[in-house]
Amino acid sequence: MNLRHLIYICVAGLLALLQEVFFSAVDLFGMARVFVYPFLLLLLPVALSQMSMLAYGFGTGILVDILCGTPGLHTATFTSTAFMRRYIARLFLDKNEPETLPPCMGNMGVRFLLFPALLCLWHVGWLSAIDACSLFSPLYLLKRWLAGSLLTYLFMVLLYYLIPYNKSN
Amino acid sequence: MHKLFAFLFSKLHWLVFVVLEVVALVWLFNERLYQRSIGLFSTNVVVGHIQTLSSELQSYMDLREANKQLLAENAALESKYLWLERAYARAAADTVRPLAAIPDSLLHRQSFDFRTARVVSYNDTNLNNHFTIDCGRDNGIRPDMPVMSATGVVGIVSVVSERYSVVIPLINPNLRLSCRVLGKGYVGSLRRVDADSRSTALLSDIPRHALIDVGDTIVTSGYSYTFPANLPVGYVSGTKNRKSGRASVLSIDGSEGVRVNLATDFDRLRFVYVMLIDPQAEVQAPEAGQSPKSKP
Repeated sequence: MNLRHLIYICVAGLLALLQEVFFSAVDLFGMARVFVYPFLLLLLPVALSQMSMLAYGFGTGILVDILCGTPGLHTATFTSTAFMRRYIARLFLDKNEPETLPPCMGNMGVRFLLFPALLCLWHVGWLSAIDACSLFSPLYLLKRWLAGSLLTYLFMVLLYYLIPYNKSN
Repeated sequence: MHKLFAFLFSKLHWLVFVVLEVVALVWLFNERLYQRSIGLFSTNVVVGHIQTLSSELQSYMDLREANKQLLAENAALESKYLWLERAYARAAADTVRPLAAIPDSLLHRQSFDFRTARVVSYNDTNLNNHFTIDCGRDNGIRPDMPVMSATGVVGIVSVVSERYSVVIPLINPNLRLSCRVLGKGYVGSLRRVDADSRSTALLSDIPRHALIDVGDTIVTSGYSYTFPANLPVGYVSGTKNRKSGRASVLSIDGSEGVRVNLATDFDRLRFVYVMLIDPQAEVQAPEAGQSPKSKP
């Protein structure tokens, strides 16, 4: 295991801790929740293998679930989001762009702003659906989905600009 | 095969993804009460539908076997029903006492033993008709025994095997039966002459001066080794002669006589009664100077 992976694991642990300590209680207007740990997906290189992505997604999800007391919910959601990241990222990457970098403005351009939006929509959508388990109130579910996605997206973009990491060649 | 493995290996992450998702969802649905209840409900609904479908499919697939069983059961019941029907018919036939003798003060009464038999086949080809009954030597049937129906004479036992006998009926044109007009004493010979009718015969060879009326009863005359006297054979039918008011005399195939409606309905003959007597032995025994019972 090289140092880079160790850093990613630590970051994942930190994000999970942040989620539990600061953001698990956030529920704006009873609808909008914020999830910070998906930010990890912006840090990992696009070229990272799917098996590694699954491992990161599953591991981080378990950590969040253990800390937040939501057994399986974040694990299932974040595993699927991590798995889908590559497919979503390819929508915004040019063919000749190197995939060694994480998704960023450098390799995606302005389209990068859409990338976390899709990730958030996917993640929060799955999470809300699994959490609700049935469409007993589709409108409420839609509101929670969109509000949660928006809030999470804003946080991700905020963190992207606030945290210094390798974003370009 | 190598390509298949390579393909599967290239898609391994999908398999791992599915496994991890399943693990996470199982964890979720096992630990959280709400999800568990939803899961149980959904599972019950889904499983219920699947089980219903499966059950219906299984039922459909089992129809062939069920059909076989039903057919076998039906065959068994049919067989049982036929057996019961035959047993009932035989039991009912056994309760019938054939009109074995018309009382005649001039003759002594005779009592006869009968063996009830079922008609198992009837052959009516070229008028050489005969039928088979389900009693034979084992049942005490011997050749030349008279055969009766519940209403009159049927015929004569011709050939006997262990379990079956062939009977030559009255409507066999080759059979001639000596008959008598009851109460008047005229004797004639009865035989079938009309190929189209199995219910009539012609009583011929009667004296020209005989006064026979329509409705007169015809019985066996007793002038035969086979039939005892006074067994009912039929009734004089046909039209009345305008002048005499008697039964019209017909001339058929060179024979003159009166038409007789046979007492036995040969079209509906199901059971017959074989008279367990051996008239020939009785007649021949005195001639041979021995007891009739000593003859086998």
